Amino acid sequence: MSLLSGIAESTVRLATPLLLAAMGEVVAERSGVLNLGVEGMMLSGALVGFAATAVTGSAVIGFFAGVIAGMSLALVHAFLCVSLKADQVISGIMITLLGTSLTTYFGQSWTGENIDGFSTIAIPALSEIPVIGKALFAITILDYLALLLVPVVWYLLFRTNIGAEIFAVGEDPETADTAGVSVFRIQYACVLIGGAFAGAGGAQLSLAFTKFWTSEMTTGIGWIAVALVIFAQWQIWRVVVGAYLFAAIDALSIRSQGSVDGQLLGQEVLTDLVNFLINPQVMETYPYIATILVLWYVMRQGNLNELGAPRAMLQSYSREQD
Amino acid sequence: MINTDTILELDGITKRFDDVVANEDIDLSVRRGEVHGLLGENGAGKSTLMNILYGLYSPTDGTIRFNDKERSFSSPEDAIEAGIGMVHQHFMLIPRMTVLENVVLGERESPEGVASVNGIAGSVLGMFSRGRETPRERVESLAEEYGLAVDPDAKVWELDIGERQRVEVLKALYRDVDLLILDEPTAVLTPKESEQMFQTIRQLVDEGLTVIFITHKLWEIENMADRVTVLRDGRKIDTVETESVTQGELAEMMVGREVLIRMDKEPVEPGDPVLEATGITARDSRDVRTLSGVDVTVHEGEIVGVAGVSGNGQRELAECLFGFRDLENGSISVRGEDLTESPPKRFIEAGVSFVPEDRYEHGCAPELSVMHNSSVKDYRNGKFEGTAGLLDYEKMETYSEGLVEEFDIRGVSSVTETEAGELSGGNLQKLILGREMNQEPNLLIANQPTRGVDVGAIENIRKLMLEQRQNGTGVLLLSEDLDELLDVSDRILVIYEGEFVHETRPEETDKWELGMYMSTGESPAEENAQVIEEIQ
Amino acid sequence: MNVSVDLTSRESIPSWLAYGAPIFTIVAALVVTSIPLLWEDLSPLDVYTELFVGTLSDVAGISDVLRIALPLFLAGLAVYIPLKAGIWNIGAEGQIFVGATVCAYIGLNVQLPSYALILLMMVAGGFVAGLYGAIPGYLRAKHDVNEIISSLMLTFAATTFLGYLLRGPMQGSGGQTATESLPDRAELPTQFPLVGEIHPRLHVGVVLLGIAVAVTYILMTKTRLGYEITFIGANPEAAIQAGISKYRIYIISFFFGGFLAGLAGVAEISGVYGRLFEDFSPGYGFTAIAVALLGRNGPFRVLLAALFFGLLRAGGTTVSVSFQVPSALVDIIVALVILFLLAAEFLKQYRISVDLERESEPETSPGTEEPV
Repeated sequence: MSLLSGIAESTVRLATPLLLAAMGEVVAERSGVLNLGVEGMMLSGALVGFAATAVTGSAVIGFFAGVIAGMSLALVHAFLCVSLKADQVISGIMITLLGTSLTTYFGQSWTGENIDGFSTIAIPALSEIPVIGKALFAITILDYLALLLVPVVWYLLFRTNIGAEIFAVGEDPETADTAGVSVFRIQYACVLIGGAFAGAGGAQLSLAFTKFWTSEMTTGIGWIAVALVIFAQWQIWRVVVGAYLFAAIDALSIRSQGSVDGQLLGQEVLTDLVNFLINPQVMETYPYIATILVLWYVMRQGNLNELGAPRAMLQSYSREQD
Repeated sequence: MINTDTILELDGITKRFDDVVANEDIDLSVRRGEVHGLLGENGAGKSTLMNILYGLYSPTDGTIRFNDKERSFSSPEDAIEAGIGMVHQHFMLIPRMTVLENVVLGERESPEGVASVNGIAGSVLGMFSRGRETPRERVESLAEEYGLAVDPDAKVWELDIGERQRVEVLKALYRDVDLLILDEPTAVLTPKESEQMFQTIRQLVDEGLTVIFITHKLWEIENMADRVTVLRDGRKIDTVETESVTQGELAEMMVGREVLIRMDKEPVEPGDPVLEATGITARDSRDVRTLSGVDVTVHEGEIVGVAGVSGNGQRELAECLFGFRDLENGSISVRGEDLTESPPKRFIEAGVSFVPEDRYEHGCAPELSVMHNSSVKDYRNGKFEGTAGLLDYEKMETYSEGLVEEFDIRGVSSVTETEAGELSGGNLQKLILGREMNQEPNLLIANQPTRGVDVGAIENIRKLMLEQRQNGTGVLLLSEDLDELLDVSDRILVIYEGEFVHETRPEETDKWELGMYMSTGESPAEENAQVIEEIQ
Repeated sequence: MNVSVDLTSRESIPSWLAYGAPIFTIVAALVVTSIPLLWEDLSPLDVYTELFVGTLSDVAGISDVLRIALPLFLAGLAVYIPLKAGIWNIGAEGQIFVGATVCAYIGLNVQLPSYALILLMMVAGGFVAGLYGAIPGYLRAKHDVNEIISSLMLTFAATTFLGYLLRGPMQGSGGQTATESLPDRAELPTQFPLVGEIHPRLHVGVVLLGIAVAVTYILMTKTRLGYEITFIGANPEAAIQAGISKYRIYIISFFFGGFLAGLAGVAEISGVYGRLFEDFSPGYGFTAIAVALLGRNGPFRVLLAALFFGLLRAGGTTVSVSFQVPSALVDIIVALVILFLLAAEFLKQYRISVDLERESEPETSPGTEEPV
């Protein structure tokens, strides 16, 4: 019982930064801009959030500082990719490298410090529910915020005029342009939103989860977020499911022994295979392999009108001359 | 009901792209409530002119007056705002969105109740909300009024071409335009769908709209337009009342070229067939069927000309006969060898040479050197064999220099340094032709080999094709230049909407007759009969 | 008054820009990197002098530069060759890991004389990494799966899977997440033929710098395959019409890339560390993208770029010790160089003039389409 509720609890907490970063990435990619700088933006959010909290003593100020830090790197990405039409892949990877190295450089003096950060808010009664009680109703305000943002982002993307415009820009900027939609503004806004969410995800890590700073503390969550968006085929609800699925794998890999005793169906080979497959480290490769498989499946089955990436992703647009 | 009130006045519009002049000093005056035809061949500058009017391009020179005000549109948004709508030749629709979403895209419709909020609050609400019911009602009533039946909630990718076109028209109507530009609206429609389209246009005009109708089909002009402006080579030829001209006169205004060159053609007795293609059916890149069951045979020492207005299936035909495009149906054999469904490599090995329509996109790699581009058909046949099976680039260089010399390709300072993309159109074409002819092909397929090429180069290129014929090569020449076809072909086929509608010999026909077949698909006599019938 | 920025694509790149751009980006990156240095109360000039001049002034420094340039160069070529075919290999890091793993496995388990063993490690490490690298090439060629995403995902799959191997089947004694040390015979010697030992940290593997540059040069400029790669990369449509198979070229160029990146992994394990552990590569495979981008005009340029980044990293290590700054400084410079390079690319392609009166629209050359 306590093992299960422990796993549930850390799943929710691990899912928060992943969920935030992936939602931001969905917004950016839906406007046609791939952002591979998520990892760097998360790290800068984590460090700046931590430092601002340590200096001001306010975790709320720290959180917003982290959001702004994520947005600053996103601004560089938007400038290069939208204004200067640079290669989105190179720009994103270099922004991750920049974010990682800058935070390692400046973060040295913050290593080892502690802050109070955000504390858990337990909702009376509900948090007493077995197994999921603590996981869902005794979490920090940031975890609640992430969950609350899910319907907000969904609403923005799927139930508003601006959401339709974002989609149109990501599908076919020329058509959006002829309909009077400002491609430039939409893409800038979406990349910045992506940066803000990544920064928020990073800030959650250092302010609510670990409450200390260490270099490269995101341990690849930003990359998993990129994978998750593809895995979820740019759908918000699938991102949520995927975030909890991937986080559960992580939570399991921390806590489980990862082995089956005895023989399965009397076959030693089968037992070995299962033990291999549920090995925590092996399981950590699943998000990436699953992403490739999803991508492969989608391209193979062919009807990209139902699934598939925004059509104009990775292409830079300016009014073209025939 | 001729109205002399002018809604649109273009004055001296010129548009240059780098060094290419797409429009030169064009004046155009459109009357309120008329259907104004814009007639011209592909590349005559029709679309460019309309893109300027729609704010997609800004003119290098010239002024636009619309609704009695001088305008300068820096984006389509401005043009829409002023009351100009445009239905593009390739649809500006997002396939993964619904009809309704496409129609209202960019309009920021608010839901009932908040629609009346003005100012900043209103515009914020407009962004972060979505109105559905009012726009839906409006779309439905527009659809009903103009006979544009389409399900507002269908995804556009599920619709057929005709329906998509209706969505495009709805999109413009929804924005309350005064002037609607239709860029070749029937190019992708079936005859029945076209008829529906015309009815819609008539209704639009009845409601007081003005329509500019771009086309290269004469009978459409005859049927639909009150007046017509003819463009050729980026210049305006004339604007005339449709009733005052015959189709023949229009055809001549549109395709008429001065006779530049006369080739001396020696008689050659055609030999065995080199190309036998039957029942060729194929679709274009937009998945529209553009070839329906075409048969063509080319013999040794014979030049078969294919005449047609561009976009009637020539490109697909040429690509099918080279293995570059998948056949939906049909079979191809070269010198008796069945090459149906073979890749280009097998065609090359069977001695087929190919000169594609688009020199820069398909004919060469513009960023690579002249040497690379001149040897791409030879690098694997042992011609440049070096030590240890390596490629001998010095041999390649020498070969390339020889080619440049032999075919008089100018503008090459060094075959290894000069990039193919730096050559002028004519010289690049000579490079491609030279490379293909040096294969000593059994069959040469040349699609528009002289388009956009200067006079000297044209003469050269035609001479080269005649030389090939002399050597026993079969040539399939697809061209829009009737003088060229009449000059060099032994046999001429006319293609219209993906089918051959006429076969003749140069000595049995003339430009006028070919022009009529090309633009109507029917013989002049039949066409007249049809026109008379329609008038009655 | 109307202010508009007019962009026209350049027909030809002026030579001052073509040669000036790399210099400009490096200088700009160094200027910006001064900020974190000044933050730590350091004189940028002192640091840069030590970094560049200091490192190159002794044999130890030069040996370090060469040793670090080797994996950067091989991985750089792993990006460069597919890039010439018009596709991005973002997965060099993963291919390095695969090569290193195969190398460690063979080194620990196969009994052969030293030279044969090292040769086997290289061939097998390269081959398996090549196959791993060919997966994105195959998926792109066959199903149009975006090679950028798939090669990136395969990188993380490889790095995390190594975590499993080092905690499980390949874990050495002592409870560390590392293998046992390789036997001496599986290690690249530091004794060069004829010359002898130059420096204890410089293994004979660096001759691969020369071999790889020569092989790549010959491949790209002397063989039919190189000709085909170049043509497919320059214009796939025209190449297909000339009878070249896009599928074949995509798969082969990714295999070659993977092979070279795998060799880089072998060189690191067999030549530098002597055993396999999790963080043996400080992101060589990602820096390789920068190397290929800076050097994309030919294998010699790739080599120059690899030497430059090798110098940065070797010098960065010295500087971080002598000035007490985090070695992350190097990565800051690397990232900034490339980000400035991206901006400079724009200047190369477009002539920008700010126009105060006339309206005009931006122009662009059509971008390449990337399927996902």
